[in-house]
Amino acid sequence: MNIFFEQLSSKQTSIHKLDTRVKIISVVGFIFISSSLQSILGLAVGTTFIMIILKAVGTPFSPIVQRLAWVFLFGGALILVFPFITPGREISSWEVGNLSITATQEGIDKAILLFLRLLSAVLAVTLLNATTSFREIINGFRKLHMPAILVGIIEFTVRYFFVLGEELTRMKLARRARAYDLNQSIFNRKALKTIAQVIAVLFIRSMGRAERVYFAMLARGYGGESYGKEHQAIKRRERVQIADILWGIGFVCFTLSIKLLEAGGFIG
Amino acid sequence: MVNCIEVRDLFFSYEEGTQALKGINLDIKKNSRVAILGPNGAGKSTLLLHFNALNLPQTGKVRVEDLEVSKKTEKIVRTKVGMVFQDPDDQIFSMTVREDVSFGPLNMGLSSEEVVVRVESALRAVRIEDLADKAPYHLSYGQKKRVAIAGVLAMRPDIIIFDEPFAYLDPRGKKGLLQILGDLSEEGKTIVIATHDVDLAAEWADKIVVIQEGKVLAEGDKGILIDPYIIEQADLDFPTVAKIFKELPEDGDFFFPMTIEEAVSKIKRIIRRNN
Ligand SMILES: Nc1ncnc2c1ncn2[C@@H]1O[C@H](COP(=O)(O)OP(=O)(O)O)[C@@H](O)[C@H]1O
Ligand SMILES: [Mg+2]
Repeated sequence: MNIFFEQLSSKQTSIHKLDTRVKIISVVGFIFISSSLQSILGLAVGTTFIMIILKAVGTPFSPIVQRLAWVFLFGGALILVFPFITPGREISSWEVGNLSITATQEGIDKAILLFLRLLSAVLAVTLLNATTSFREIINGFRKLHMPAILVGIIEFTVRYFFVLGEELTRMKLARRARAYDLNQSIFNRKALKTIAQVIAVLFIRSMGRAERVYFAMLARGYGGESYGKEHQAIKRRERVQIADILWGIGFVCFTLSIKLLEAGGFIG
Repeated sequence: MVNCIEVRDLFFSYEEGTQALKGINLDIKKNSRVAILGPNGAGKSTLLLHFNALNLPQTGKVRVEDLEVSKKTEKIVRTKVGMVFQDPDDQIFSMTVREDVSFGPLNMGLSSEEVVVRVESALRAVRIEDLADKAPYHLSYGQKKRVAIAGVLAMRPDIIIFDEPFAYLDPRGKKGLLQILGDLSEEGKTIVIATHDVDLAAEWADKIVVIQEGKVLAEGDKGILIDPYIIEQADLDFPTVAKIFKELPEDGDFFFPMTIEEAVSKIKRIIRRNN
């Protein structure tokens, strides 16, 4: 998707070489099961499992953590909010004026649970991303018979996202070149007006660019059907191999076993 | 010689009403080097997009090789005619150069072995083999231009169209591109470029088509570039070299130089005569 992941995904470990369809299904399966887990321990095991695989395929952790900053921010926000809005066993309380604020254990648990669910899902997608190039993922969707229109939408959304980002960077530079002060408060009228204009122009410019990008793709023969030929005749070595299936089953079974242990009351 | 592109009475209006082409007639011969010359807004890009079936004729006809350009033939036309867009950033969107160059061949449904072969030879043709695994975003403008060209060459079209190919290129980039264009002509490709650069047209083209406000104003060899009526009508400028020799007194030699090379040989002749 971005260059960082694209470089990771050009490595060659046994997981990189797995069939893309198996990877997609495994990851979706993992997310499905792990987000239904009810216990912190179960989720922690699932999350650790993904992290171990990420490490095994040679993903450096600190850039990942940077990229996932928003997940942690979100987690932080949950921890700050949930304990105070969830009814349950009181663990501490403050008096602010004539208002009393109480934090509950249930709230904290709930926040951690939600955070872990999000984290494990995001890490699972990261794993897919780090071991599969964007093009392969898109082709994987196609081979899984996802409707062409849906695949197209995903493909373009991702591409235009970058087009948009580039456009924004360019405009930022141009604004700075004309001595626009980036550090001023965004709440004065002039700044708000500038921001509104930037958004409007960004929209218009990216529409224009998106159209040109699309034209350039058409010019090189892009267009639903012929593009699909790439997978219509699936070659022998492209068929899903036993090893792929075993791996996929192993991956999903591990996750499933956490679920079963939890359901059986062994953990959590 | 055989025409590989024929345009007959072509009109085209954009949705919001601008009539960009108003009855274009044009023949392009196989293996020729054609410069479509005209000021900004003349309709050059609009015309070029017809050759690649990205614009379909509203009235009139466009033929490419034996095909009439239409919705039905657009896919085949696009494999015969390659288009290099003005801004390489519009054309390049993949994460690596190699992946981007293979986009066209993959769309053509070629086998992966064939794709690899074509990508390698396209990269070699524009001399960027060493950039194959780089991310296009970090390349210089000139390098991106080459990636964009390679992406088209890999489809092995007979006809290649360039929209403003020299815009924003530095002198080295221009020289490199001229060399690539020369190589392609030698291979037998037909090359069409749109430009407002009269010097370039004089230097490179064997046929020049001047268009102005959606109509063909004149066509012919570079001789038309010193016709004051045409140049003025088209809001263009004389080639730089021609401007110099226009100011010099008539000397009975009717050869009028337009390129630096021609100017040098004329000056040498004058010096020899005067010695
Ligand atoms: N996408 C578009 N929508 C509406 N009008 C356009 C579009 N592209 C070009 N035009 C108009 O069509 C005319 C010809 O433009 P164009 O073919 O881009 O000229 P050139 O390439 O010679 O500069 C101009 O008046 C231009 O404003
Ligand atoms: Mg143009």
